[in-house]
Amino acid sequence: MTRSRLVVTGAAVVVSVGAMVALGALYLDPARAAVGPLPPQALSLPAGTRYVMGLDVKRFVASPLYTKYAAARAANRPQAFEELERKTGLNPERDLDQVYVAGSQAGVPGRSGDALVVVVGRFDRTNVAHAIETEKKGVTSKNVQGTIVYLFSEDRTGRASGATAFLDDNTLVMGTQASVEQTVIARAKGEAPLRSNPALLALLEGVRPGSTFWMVGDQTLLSNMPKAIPGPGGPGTSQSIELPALKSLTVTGDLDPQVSLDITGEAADEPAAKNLADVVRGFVALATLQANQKPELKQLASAISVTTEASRVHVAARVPYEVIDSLQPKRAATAPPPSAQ
Amino acid sequence: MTATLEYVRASRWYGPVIALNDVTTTVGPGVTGLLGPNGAGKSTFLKLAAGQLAPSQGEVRVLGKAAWGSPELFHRVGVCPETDAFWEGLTGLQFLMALLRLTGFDDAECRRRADHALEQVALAEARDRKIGGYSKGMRQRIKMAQSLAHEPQVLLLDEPLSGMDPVNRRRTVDLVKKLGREGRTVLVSSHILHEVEAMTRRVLLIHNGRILAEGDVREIRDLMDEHPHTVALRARDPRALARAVVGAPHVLSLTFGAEGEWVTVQTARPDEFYSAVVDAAVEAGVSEMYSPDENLESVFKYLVAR
Amino acid sequence: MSATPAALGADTRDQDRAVPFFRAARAVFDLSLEGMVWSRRSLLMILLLGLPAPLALLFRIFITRLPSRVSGFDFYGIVIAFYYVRNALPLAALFYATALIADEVEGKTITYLLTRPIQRVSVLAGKFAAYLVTTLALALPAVVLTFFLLTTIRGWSGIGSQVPDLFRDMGAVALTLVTYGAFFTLMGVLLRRPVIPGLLFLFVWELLANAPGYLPRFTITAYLRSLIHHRPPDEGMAEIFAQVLPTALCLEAVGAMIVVFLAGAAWIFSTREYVLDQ
Repeated sequence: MTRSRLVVTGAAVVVSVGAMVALGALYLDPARAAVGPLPPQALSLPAGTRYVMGLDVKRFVASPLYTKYAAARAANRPQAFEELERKTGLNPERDLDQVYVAGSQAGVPGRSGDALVVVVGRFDRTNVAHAIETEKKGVTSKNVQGTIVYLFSEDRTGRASGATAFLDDNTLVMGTQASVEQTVIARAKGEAPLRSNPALLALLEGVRPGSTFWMVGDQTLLSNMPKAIPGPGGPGTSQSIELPALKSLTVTGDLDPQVSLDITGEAADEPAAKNLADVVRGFVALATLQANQKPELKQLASAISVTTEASRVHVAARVPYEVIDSLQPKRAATAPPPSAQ
Repeated sequence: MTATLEYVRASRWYGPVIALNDVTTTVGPGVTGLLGPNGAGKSTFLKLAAGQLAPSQGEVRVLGKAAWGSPELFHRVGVCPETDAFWEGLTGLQFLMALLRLTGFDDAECRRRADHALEQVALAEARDRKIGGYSKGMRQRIKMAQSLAHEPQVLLLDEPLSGMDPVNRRRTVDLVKKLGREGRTVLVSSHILHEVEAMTRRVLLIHNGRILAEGDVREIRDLMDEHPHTVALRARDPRALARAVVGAPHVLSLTFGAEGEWVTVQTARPDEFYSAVVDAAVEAGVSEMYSPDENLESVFKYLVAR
Repeated sequence: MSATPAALGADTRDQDRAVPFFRAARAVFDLSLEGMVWSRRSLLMILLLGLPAPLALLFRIFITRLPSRVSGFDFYGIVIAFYYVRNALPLAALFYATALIADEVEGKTITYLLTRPIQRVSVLAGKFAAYLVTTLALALPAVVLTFFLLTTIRGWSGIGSQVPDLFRDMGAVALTLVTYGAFFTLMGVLLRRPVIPGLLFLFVWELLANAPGYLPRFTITAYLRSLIHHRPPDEGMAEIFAQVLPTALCLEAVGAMIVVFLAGAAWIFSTREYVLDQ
């Protein structure tokens, strides 16, 4: 073999080995899922689902954000968590892996909408079921296709407004009775209704697996967003800037080693996307102008970038924790307690 | 004679410079020498046949096809360029095999033909040495080898003996003559008359882009013989020599040199003069003799003036 | 004693046609590869294209002492988007591709290639293939090593999410080398001294990619940059006018450029006379 072929062959070997290792990592990575970031059992969600949010509890708990701010509040750990662990053996920080929230219409103030919550983790199923049955008043259960569904009567009429059920030993689903039952039936039949929602699937495929938190949705998710914002004259003036409607939204984020946020919005067309991008850039520029009074805002503004790709607007933010710390309101210095006499 | 190379009113110019001017000639099987001083148009003549240049006017055909734009001709045409240029990092064998692959042979046949060509030019023992380490003569021979490795019907050799020592020069001359005897068309370009004379009797004289004369080299010599031939002789007794030859009818003039030892004779029939001067040369003690008319320049000057 | 002609094999070549294109191109490729990979030019290119790998190693070693503004994957993104696609790869293409034919002309070895029964376009194809193999062999291992050095700083967890970017980036690197290679091959056969105009093109004309409106579409780099999905944010003026062109448009434009540049180079090379100075 000539020297040149030796070099080329060596290079090909390095690249091939690297590619195989990469494919192996892709296959073995625990973030791999059935559809985008969703596990297979979450495909039992109703076909009419319009938005899905996800939280990787493990990554969240391991992040500097949680470490820093949870530690600061360690003394004030919610009483509910203590009681939950005592009764069910469930420690959310230790035992939960993923939490998903899905629905077909965003909640309005005073209403919970039709949100479903799917929790994936390690449960002591017996203890959890016992706690549900005994601790809550007005809890009934019914057998739906071989799965026990617990029904909660929350309103004065006694009509069940909430339900929960175990899809399997590691998956708990909570929500309205109708949506929980729908999910349980699909799971029992081995169906995956969510696969018949191509629009949502396409958004889910666009979520980067391994993100700490993420959110995808169509206009439903944005139905409560304002359609216009005050113009340069400020609120109370007749000027306002109309925000172009978004057809869909994808948000992914990480918290380690810095706070990273990627928001992709699909506008109606390219001009609308450019318009929206200009609005966002305007706000970023405004923040920069405030730098004289608040220098930390300048750092925050420089961490944000806005780009457009055809009819998509992409906003990316990379904010180090030092900047977040600097944005916290400073506590007033407290006078030392008088020394005891 | 079937024509292998045909030039039909072929001209080639580079801007205002005319390198070849309205040339019409043919070259057939056998060895043909292309003679001319530097800048006469020999290289242009060869490059037109080698398909490296297109004629500005007229036609140049090789084996019946236009030389320019017919790469398939190189199955049957071999070119030995004048420039001393190689991929220096290749060995002689690698060089030949690479070019044979480009000629369409498979690896086994490439090896056989490369070995055969190396033996023809006496480079078999140096086949695994890098060309960068070859002497000038070896480089010339490997260049020759690449032109004939694929057994072409037509060979275009540009100054093939350049840089060769007498032994290899002899060997190459014999090889060229052998190729000619095999019926191949070999066109050898040179500016040295006796080199070409050693290989062939058929020559094309080219000067200032025109074919000045073509035919048997003896006919060319006869043309030269009509031209008054100058012979300079150095003798112990130049006046005795002059007395011995002045009476011959073919001696046109005699001049004595400034130093007193030289006699310059002009003769109309140099062959007769050379025969007649032998005895007188011995008696007069001739130690040196040369003829300035043996070079091509004087021939061309004479032929141009005619 | 020399072998007689009868000892040679039968000549089975079709002497009425040039050697088939792929066979001829393969022969030129074999001839050119050795000189291209094992050359002084390649020594320089190893430094240029391989530099990110040792830098990644240093980053990995010293990251704990650096402020955490930039993660390993972010640094990898900077290496791909800024170092390779915008600078190193175009420069490598410039120095290799402009010399494909020029080196043979300057070395006066072009005569050997032009007096073979092969189409001239196969000479160009073989040399271009050798250029591509050489530059990919220098660039891709560095990309792969840089990726793994930078993305596994905090362990292998989560690397699966970044693997698709590695494959996309390798594709973008290859596409960058092909596109700029085609362009500089054309410049190499068109101009006698193509390096200076090539540098002007890279560092003056390509700046139009940072301009507003449709001007970026007249550059090569605007299309290639848009193919990198994990672009780090542009800064300064570039951020104001940053445009990301649709992927389909980029692939179409780049494909068209490659075809046009190579076809142009092939036509010029096929019709040009090469008169070597003695």
